[in-house]
Amino acid sequence: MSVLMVRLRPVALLFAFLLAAAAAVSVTPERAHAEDPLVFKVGSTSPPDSLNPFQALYLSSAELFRLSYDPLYTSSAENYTPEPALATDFSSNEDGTVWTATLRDAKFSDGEPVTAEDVVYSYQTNIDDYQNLPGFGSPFANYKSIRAIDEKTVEITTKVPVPENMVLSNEMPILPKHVWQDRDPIKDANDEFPWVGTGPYVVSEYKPDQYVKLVKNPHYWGGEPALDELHFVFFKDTDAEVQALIKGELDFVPGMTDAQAKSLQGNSDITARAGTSRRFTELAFNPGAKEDGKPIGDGHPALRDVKVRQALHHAIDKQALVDKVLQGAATVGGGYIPPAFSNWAWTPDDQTKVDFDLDEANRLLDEAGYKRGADGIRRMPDGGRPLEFRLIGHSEVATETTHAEFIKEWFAELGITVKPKMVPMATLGEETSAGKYDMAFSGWSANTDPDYILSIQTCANSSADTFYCNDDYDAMYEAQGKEIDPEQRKQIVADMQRHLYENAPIITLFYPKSQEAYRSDRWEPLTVQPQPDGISTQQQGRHGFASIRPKGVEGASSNGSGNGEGLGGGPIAAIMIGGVLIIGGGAAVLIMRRRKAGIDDTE
Amino acid sequence: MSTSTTSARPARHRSAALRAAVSSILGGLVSFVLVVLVGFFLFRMLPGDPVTTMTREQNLTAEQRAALRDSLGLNDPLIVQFGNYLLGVLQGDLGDSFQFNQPVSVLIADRIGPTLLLTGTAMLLAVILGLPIGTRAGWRRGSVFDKLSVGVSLTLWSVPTFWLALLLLMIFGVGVGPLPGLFPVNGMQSSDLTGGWFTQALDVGWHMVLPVITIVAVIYAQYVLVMRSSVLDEIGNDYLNTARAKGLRDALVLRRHAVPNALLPTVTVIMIQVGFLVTGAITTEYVFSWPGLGSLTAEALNVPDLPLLQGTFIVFSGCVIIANVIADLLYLVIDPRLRNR
Repeated sequence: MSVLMVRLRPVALLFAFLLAAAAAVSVTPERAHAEDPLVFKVGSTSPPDSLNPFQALYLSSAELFRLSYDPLYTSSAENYTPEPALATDFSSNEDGTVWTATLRDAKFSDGEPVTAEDVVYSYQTNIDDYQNLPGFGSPFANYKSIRAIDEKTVEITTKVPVPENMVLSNEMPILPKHVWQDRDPIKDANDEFPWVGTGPYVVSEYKPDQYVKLVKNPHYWGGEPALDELHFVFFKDTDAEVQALIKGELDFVPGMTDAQAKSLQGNSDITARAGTSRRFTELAFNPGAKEDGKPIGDGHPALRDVKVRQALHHAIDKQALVDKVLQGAATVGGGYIPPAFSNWAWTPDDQTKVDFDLDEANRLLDEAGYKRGADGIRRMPDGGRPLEFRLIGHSEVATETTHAEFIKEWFAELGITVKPKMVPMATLGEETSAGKYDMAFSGWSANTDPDYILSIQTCANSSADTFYCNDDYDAMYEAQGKEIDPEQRKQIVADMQRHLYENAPIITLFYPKSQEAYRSDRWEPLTVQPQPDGISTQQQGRHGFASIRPKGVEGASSNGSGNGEGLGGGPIAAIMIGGVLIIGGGAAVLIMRRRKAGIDDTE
Repeated sequence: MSTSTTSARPARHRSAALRAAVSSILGGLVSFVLVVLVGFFLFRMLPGDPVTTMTREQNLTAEQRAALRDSLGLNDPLIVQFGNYLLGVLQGDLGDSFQFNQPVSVLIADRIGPTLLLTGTAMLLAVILGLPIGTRAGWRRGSVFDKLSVGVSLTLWSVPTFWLALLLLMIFGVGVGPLPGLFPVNGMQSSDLTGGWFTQALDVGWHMVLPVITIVAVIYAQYVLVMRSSVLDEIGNDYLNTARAKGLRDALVLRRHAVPNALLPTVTVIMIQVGFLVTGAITTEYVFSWPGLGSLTAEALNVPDLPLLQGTFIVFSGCVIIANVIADLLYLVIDPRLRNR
């Protein structure tokens, strides 16, 4: 063995290896033939958790369900208001307890017609056992029963009156009974491919940590889909995704950082855009954390005083955070629900609006009795504890460090010390849910129905975010969940947002935009939600992916040629120089080695 | 080979060798039991609540959260959880992943192939590259070749893996200037590939090039250095002078006499490396999105997905332990002196 090893010269081996590699490259699949399937490839950094709609929790799984199946109603691309999907009509009796849905003429991807029995199966399974079906089960807590009236009509009875928007935004996919009836909704892996669904593309292959393939559903009720296949390709980080997009290995990359989006500017093949998302970012205070009525944690007592929180609201220049830290990739914060949900968003009027005004903030704190000590730092009204607040943020979100520095400076003007601390997300969750914080960066995504996002600030859910617990707010939350008059409900939801704005357990800092990019040399723009400046992925619905169309007619077969556009900047140059040095050194060794070997042979 | 004993060994020696082998295996077993015990408590110290992480921003009712917590066994007292875990491990059941709704053993089985393929290939190439270079460097100590090869390998060894991986990805994956992107930037297979097994195999090979080069570049230095110093240890020995006196060519002296002896310590290094290699590939797997155990561990850490972390920990540690035991046993086989002790 040893003899063999010495004989196999490393140089020869290296060449052999490179030759093999080159050979591999040369036989690399050619993808530009006309008969090749038309494929759109999306980069994704988060693999699905489960393929079973009854169990899956992650957004990446929901995206697959939204493409492969249909709910009865979905959310409009315009502004997230409910619109027909598998049902063409969905309405209730006078008091909002009996609901009738009429199904459209549709077929599953295996050619079987969609009937009322499929809806009954999908809903009844959840009604029977919603506690153990976290996937789409929660709305079914209020449902009593469902029955088929005829082939195309179902009747749903709810335990209590339920607002229309809440019922119509139920996203439970309608699954084919003939495929699912013998499966266990809790345990089933849903790994028989292709899936049988009613959506434009159904999942046909899943390679964990590699990719998910969807193929076109020839029976799609919305007309023949434009693509033959839609692929989600999994990456570990977005940097590699952006490189793959530049190279043409991907057609679409969602969720980029602002810096990555910027690096794509000037690439004529790619369009990068910042879209209005469903999210808001907030500064959450610790308004006196309690668990089962008993105080927990070590929050600063000053923040239990609503006057202090109101004063601090005046000391945050949200516009500056958006302009200077985020370079404009966000909308300045106002009400709790993002303005993208135009049906539910509330905007403070001129009298209610809290402006950035450090003098006013100082005045409010003086008035509330928080006097400055000899060192200029304010003390509690009893003259004791100085106002020193910890500010905890996510170390994963680079911009939060900068936001914290701005807030620290503004609060210093008020005689308040801020100690920023950036920790991993899991640590942040642990410390905030134990009440061991004063101020924290947080954020949520809103949904078609505002019920859930509003529930986060109730006493029952207090540990979810800020431990806010207020009887008035809880009473309003209760009321909106029962109000079947849409206009009345809208008013209550607005009042709740006004309450949060004025009592300031949280301050909505901004609504961040989401950065996405696609190969505009090959594809038409995707439909965004909300119109006109929303996002193409992580929608409520599937408008973006369902709208994919190749650019022009012959654009479909164009194959991306790798070019180095978009690369630039100091770090990359440094990496390149380092690389050249290493490779050059290696080459020198090899040459030396070769000459040496030649001499040895003549010995 | 010339070093093997020809006469029958006394029984005493055989039993001594057996004792050494048994104690080595027993030591491995004890280590493994400790790993299993530690594995449970180690990951309970991670911050973060799995249910909170998994259900954040999910519209779940309080009952649903409670049911989820219950079904994951998180409501049981720690000692009960530990008991269940031990019982499971004894039966070869590593439990179900919190986030993926699948048995941990299935998830690991899916990923271990790609990891072994990547690390095995890299290991083989590193040995094939490292040993001859180390031998030559030691034999010609002080030569330009010696200085250069030691310098280069040490440089590569000290380069951070993720940096080297990103560098290769930029230059050969994406392409720089006139150089087109030659190799894929992620994964193990192209999602849009159609063709028979041969095309598929080529596709995997094509995807492997950059991650394999990364791992080889980082680890081959160890073989160079160990082999070099082993050869140096042998170089002044009388038996080499004897060989030369017999009139053997320099190259033959090296091949037939110096190398076999110098290989002994190298074998240990190689075997221990095998165990750590699987663990060490995490960074490379991450950069190239290689669908292996490293990627799986990274996904598990975010939650934290305790059963999955315990499972990968046991597999990683098991590899190191098994490799060590094999190194011990192999040593007994190839070094007669140990058998006769």
